[in-house]
Amino acid sequence: MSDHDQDDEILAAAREGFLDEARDMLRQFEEGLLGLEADPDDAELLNSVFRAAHTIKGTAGLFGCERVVAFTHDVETLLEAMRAGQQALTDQAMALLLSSRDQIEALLGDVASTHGDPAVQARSAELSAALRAVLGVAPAEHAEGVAVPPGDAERPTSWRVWVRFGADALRNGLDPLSFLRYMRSQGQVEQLQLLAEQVPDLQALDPEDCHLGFEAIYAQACSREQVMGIFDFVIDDCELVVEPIGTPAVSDAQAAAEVQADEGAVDAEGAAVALAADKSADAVVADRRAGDGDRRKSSRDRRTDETRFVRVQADKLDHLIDLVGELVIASSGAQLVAQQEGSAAFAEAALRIRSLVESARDGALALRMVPIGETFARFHRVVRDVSKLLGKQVELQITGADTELDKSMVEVIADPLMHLVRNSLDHGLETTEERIAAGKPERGVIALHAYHESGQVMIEVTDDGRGLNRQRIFNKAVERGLIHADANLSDHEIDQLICAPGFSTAEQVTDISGRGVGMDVVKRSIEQLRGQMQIASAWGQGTTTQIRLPLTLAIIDGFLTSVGSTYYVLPMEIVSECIDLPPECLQEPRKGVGYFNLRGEVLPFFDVALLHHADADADHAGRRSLVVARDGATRIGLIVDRLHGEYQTVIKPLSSLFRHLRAIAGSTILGSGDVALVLDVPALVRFATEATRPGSQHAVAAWQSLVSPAALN
Amino acid sequence: MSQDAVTLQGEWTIHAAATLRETMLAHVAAGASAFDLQGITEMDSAGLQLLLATQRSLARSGLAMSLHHPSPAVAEVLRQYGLDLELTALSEHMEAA
Repeated sequence: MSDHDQDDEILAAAREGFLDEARDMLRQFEEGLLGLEADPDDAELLNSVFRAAHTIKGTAGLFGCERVVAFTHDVETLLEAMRAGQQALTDQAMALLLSSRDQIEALLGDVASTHGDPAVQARSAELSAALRAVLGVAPAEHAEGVAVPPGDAERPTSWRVWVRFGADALRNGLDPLSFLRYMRSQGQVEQLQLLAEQVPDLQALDPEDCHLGFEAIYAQACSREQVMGIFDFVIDDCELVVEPIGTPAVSDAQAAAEVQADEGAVDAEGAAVALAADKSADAVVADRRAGDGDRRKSSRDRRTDETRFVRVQADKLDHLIDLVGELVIASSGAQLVAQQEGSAAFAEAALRIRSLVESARDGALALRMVPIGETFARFHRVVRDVSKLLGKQVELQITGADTELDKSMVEVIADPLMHLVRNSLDHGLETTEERIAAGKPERGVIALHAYHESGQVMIEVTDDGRGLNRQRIFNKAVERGLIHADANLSDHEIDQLICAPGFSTAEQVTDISGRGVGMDVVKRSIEQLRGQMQIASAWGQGTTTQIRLPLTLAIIDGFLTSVGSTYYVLPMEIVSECIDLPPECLQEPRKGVGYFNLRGEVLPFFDVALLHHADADADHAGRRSLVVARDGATRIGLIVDRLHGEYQTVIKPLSSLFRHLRAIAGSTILGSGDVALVLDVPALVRFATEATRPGSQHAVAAWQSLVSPAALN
Repeated sequence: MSQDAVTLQGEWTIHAAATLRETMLAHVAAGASAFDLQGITEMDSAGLQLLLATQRSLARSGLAMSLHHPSPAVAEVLRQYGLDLELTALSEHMEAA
């Protein structure tokens, strides 16, 4: 009894793994299909699609997800026909297969419920019928909600199953008993015969090797694939023969046994022949269809994948990264002590530790980083579907798919990106006729581009469409009361207007992107990630939306400065140079805000002392310095008291109490134990540019609004 | 009869298989051929395989193994594999079709 409870527990855990795997397989399925659309003759792609479907079906069967099995079977049948060259990949078939992918996903989501969502069930039946129709097979009777596999009429009612497990089966936790139990839970197992003749005597026995097998009559009306599916987990580590019994209409081809041999031992073909000879009385026809090799390959791929990836709980990872962060700080502290002690040996040891700790830190951080490619890849489908719907020809180009960013960010960024892509598809790109009329290539291009720049992640969504109609945007903005009719705005400023709340230029709300969610929402979600969004457009040539995201959890190479007794860290990448305080900065000392001349270039400056409401003309010890920091193309000067030099630091996010402080990106603890604040330079640059704009009356107030008095005083 | 039987105990699973093999080898060497199974708390195919191997070893020396008092765990495995206490198929007479 306790045995069963334990089995249930293991099953529940395994089910999670199954759903995870199924999701991966669905992705493979979709990617394969989209690849096939571009290159219908690629047999390897078709195989990979088939394998994905087959794997889902096989594992779903093992977990008793009959609704998934039944539906996926129909998908597999169609794919099988394509592989055999009996069916072409028509547009209709492609559309059906893509819908099927969504349906499998829906069914998987529904796996937990006992009876299933009737709507999902109905859709299953509908799609199954359509899939069969493509092949010209009459629809089978589907008893509503009952797990009867399709095509009963042509199915034998029982199967003879002969299986001998590989030597490693027990070691891999694949006990023949569990397969028997599973078969018994699904159907009748009759005339069971244990195949124990290969069990040696005690002396010769390796007690962990499996020498067992069994032969049984399995009374269950189902397809061969379903029977084979039971053994999917061991398929390349067992010999398996499945033969139908008592079906008059079974053709020779169908009666063919499928043989899978342990590839380590004998070549599968040889084993098949040997088996056929052994069992010649039973007239076993060994048939290795092309697919079997693939299937074996797929399970091998799967296995290597499993060894390459380990699933780890996110909070364990966070804890580790936190610890490594502390370690970095502690090691800096040790180095400081070493310097103070003046011991060369100690200093050397501290240095060694530090370099190791740094590698450990980089490694730990990399654990949280994931390539953005996976997020990008899902847009293939969106672009395909939407462009079909709109009757536009669109090509999606992806570059920088291996650009990594924090996992938590990847998840949040997907929705805004989706919106931007849909926007480009719907509003950005012209119809084919319009493009031809404009002398552009018929096929529009949407490009997703990701890269790292100055310690930030840049993501660009570009289209080569019509570009933004500035006059229309301007008029609309006036109409909506966003700007004054005689406002004098630069082109760039007009472009940004489409991100203003409640702004939508599309005259008619379309199905694609006009669902009331505007660019303002996209912009806000980017800003919630402490990122920025900019739009650039050239009339008739296209639009680029640039998203700039910080590496939140990143450890940065910082530049340590101080004002009074407060330490500030600037990300090293944004520091372009340090100069003595130019005389013009002293001209209006009370203001602490103004312009200075950097080799002929006029740049705004700020006194960092204003951050904590210190008077800019207060008695700052000694000579002050000006750090020239840049954000993209914009540069500003920041006045600080002292420069302490390079300092590697772990950014600790501010607690939620301080989240609204836009000038501070985080804090860090110095080796000495002091707290340093990490300046959010892009935010500073933004405010500097705004606050020093001619006519701005409240520069200091704007500056100080960056930091609420309650927070830092 | 079962008085002479050697009592087998514990978890007869793959995890203990190596140790159990040593134990069984010792029992066989000591001339034991009767085993009492009521102390076996858990059994899997590796455990069953050990019993089959023991039976084979004994047969080599012309001895028949006898098993007694199967615990629920043992009984379940035997039932799943369709075996009796002699470890032969219950449905011997039924030829596989």
